[in-house]
Amino acid sequence: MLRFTLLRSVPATAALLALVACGDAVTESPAAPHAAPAVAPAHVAAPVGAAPVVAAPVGAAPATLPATPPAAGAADRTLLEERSGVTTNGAFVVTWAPVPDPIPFNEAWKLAVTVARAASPTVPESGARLELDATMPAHGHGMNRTPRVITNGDGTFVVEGMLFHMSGEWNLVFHVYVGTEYGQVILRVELP
Amino acid sequence: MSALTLLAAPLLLTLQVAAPVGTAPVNAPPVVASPVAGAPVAGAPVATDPGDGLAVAFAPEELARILRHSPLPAAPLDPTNAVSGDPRAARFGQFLFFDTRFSSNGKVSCATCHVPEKAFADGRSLAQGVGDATRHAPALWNVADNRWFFWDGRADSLWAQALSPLENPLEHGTSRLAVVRMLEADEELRRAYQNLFGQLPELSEAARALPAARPVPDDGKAPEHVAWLSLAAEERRAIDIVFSNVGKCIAAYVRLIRSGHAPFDVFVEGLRDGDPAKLAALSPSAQRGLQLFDGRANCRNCHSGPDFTDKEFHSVRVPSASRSLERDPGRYTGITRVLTDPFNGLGEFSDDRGEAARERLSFLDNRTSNQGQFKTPSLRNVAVTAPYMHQGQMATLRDVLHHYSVFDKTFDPLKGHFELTLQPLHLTDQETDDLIAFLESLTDTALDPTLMAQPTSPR
Repeated sequence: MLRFTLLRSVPATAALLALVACGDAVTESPAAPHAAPAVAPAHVAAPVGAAPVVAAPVGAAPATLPATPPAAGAADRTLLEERSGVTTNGAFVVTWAPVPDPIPFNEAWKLAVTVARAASPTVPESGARLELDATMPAHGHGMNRTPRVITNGDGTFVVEGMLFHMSGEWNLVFHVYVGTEYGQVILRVELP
Repeated sequence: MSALTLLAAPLLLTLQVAAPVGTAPVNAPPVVASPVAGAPVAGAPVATDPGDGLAVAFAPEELARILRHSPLPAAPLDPTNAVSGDPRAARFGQFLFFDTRFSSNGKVSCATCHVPEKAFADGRSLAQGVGDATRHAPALWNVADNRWFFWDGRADSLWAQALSPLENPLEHGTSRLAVVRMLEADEELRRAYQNLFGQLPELSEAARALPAARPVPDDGKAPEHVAWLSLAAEERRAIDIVFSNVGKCIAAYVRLIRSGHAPFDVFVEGLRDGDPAKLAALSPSAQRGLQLFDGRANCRNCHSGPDFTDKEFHSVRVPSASRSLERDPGRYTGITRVLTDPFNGLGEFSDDRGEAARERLSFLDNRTSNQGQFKTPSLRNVAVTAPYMHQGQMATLRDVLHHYSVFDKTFDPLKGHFELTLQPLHLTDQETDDLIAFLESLTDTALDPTLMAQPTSPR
C-alpha cells in the first residue's frame, strides 16, 4: 500500500490556475501532523529526510468543479472518464485532472485536484487536506515512488511524482479531511 | 480483401479467424477512445486474415499492445551529460572503453565484461574483472533508454554508472586519481581530453606521490580513502570533475550501442504497412509466442515498451546462485546509494540539475518491499546474451521459462515485493518453444563495425 503524504504549503493565496499561468513556485514545509478521524485508514509515515519540494508549473488548467455534483455511492469506484466524484460520506466533491492528459504510460505525470463541499460544489473548500493511495489491486503493489500532495491552501492541490510503470488497473484513493470530517473516493484508471 | 484493414473502416472489420486455444477471443468488443495514452485508437491496423504472413489472428487489443513494442525510438540525449551527443566525446569514450590501462592489473577494460563479439555481454554467470564480481554483467544494448542503471539501480545516469566499475576492487580496481594521472601521462589521451574539456588540473606534489586515492564510503580506514582525504578539498573536486568527464565520454559511446531492427520490428512494420513479406519475418511459432507473451503469459506486464522493460524493479523469486550470494538486497540498497551518489543527476557534477533529475530522484524512498528487487532487463538480443538473471542463475531461455512455468510463489527469502500476477504459467512444450521462437526474433546485433573495437586514436 502506498500513501501519499500531505504536505502543508506556506500560505499560498494564488489559485492553481495562477500557479499554472505564472509558474509561481510554492515551497513546501515538512509534513504537518494531523489527527486522523476514527474512520481514516492506517497512516504511513512521511519519507524521512525528504527534500523540500518546490511545485513546478503543471502546465494545464485546474480541475473544473462540476455545476452539479454526481450522486454519492453510485459505485464503489469512479472511472477516470468521470472527472469528479463524491466521497463516501457524501460531504465532499473531489475533482481531478491528470497533467498531461491523457495519463502517459511509464512516464511521470501530475494530478490537479480540487476539493469542494457537495453542498457548494463550485466553491473550493479551503480547509481541506488531501492524501492519496495508488495501488494495482490485481498486482498487490502500487507505484515504485512516493509522490507528494502539495496543497495551495485554497482547496486546490497538485500531486507531484506520479508514474504508472505497468499497464492494468490502478486505483487512486483520495482521502479528504476537513476538521474531524473524513471521506474517500476511489478513482479507477485502466492503463492499457 | 487485404490481410490488413483499419479500424477507421469498421465495415471492413471482420475478425473471422478462430484463435488458438487459450488465447483471447477474436470477437473482441469494439475499440473505443480511451482517455489514457497508448490505448487502441482508430487507424491501428487489424489482422483480418491468417494468410499473407499472419499465422495468428490477433484481436484489436492484442495488436495495439504489439505496436507499442516497436519501433525503437532514437537514443535520447542525457541532459545531465553535456557531451552526451558529441561525436568527439563518443570517440574518446570508445577509446577508453577498450583501454586496459585503466585497471589495477593493466588487463581489464569495459570490454572485458561487455565483449562486442558476445553481444556486449560476457557469457559468464558472474562478471570477472580484477576479481570475481557478485552479479551478472548485463549486455549494453539500448541502455541509454534506461531510467536506472545496474541491477539495483544505484546510478541514475549512464555516465554515473560508467564510473563505478573503474573503482570497484573486483572490476577495474583503479582509482580516480590514477585515472587523472593516466590522462595526464599519455599525450594522446591528454589532447583528446583537453579538446573537449580544456586543461587538465595541475596535480599537487602530494597527489603525485600517492599510488591511489578514492573515497571508500564503506571503509573510512581503507588506505585509498585515507589518501583521498589527505588531498585538499579543492584538488579532490578538480579530480572529481575530470573523473566525471571520463564517465560522460564513455556514456556518449555506449549510447550508440543500439538494437532496433530485429525480425520482430520488421514484422511490426508489416502490421503497419500491410506488407505480407514483412509479416513473414516472424515464423508461425514466433507469432504464437508473441501472442502468448502479450497475452496469457503476461510477460508484457514487466517487459513492456520498445525496450521490453518497464525500467523498474521486481522480485521474481529466483534462488541465489550460491549460498555466499544469498540475501542480496538489490533495490533496497540501490535506492540509498543513488540518493547519496555525488555523481547523481542532482549532484554538483551534473550538467543539468533541473526538472528531469529532480523528477527522477525526488520521489524515491526505501521500503522493505524493495528487498530482493532487481531491474527488469530489456529483452532486445536476449537470445544471444545468456546466461540470465542478476547472478546469471539460469543458463538458457528454456530455464527461464521453466522458472515461470512452475513458479514457486512461496519462495521469498527476503520477504520483499509481492507481485500477485506472477502465477505458474504451466506452459506446454509447444508454448515454451513458441515463446523462445519469439524471443529469438528480438535479435539484432548489427552495429556499425567501427563501434565494435578500439579506434586507432582517442581523437
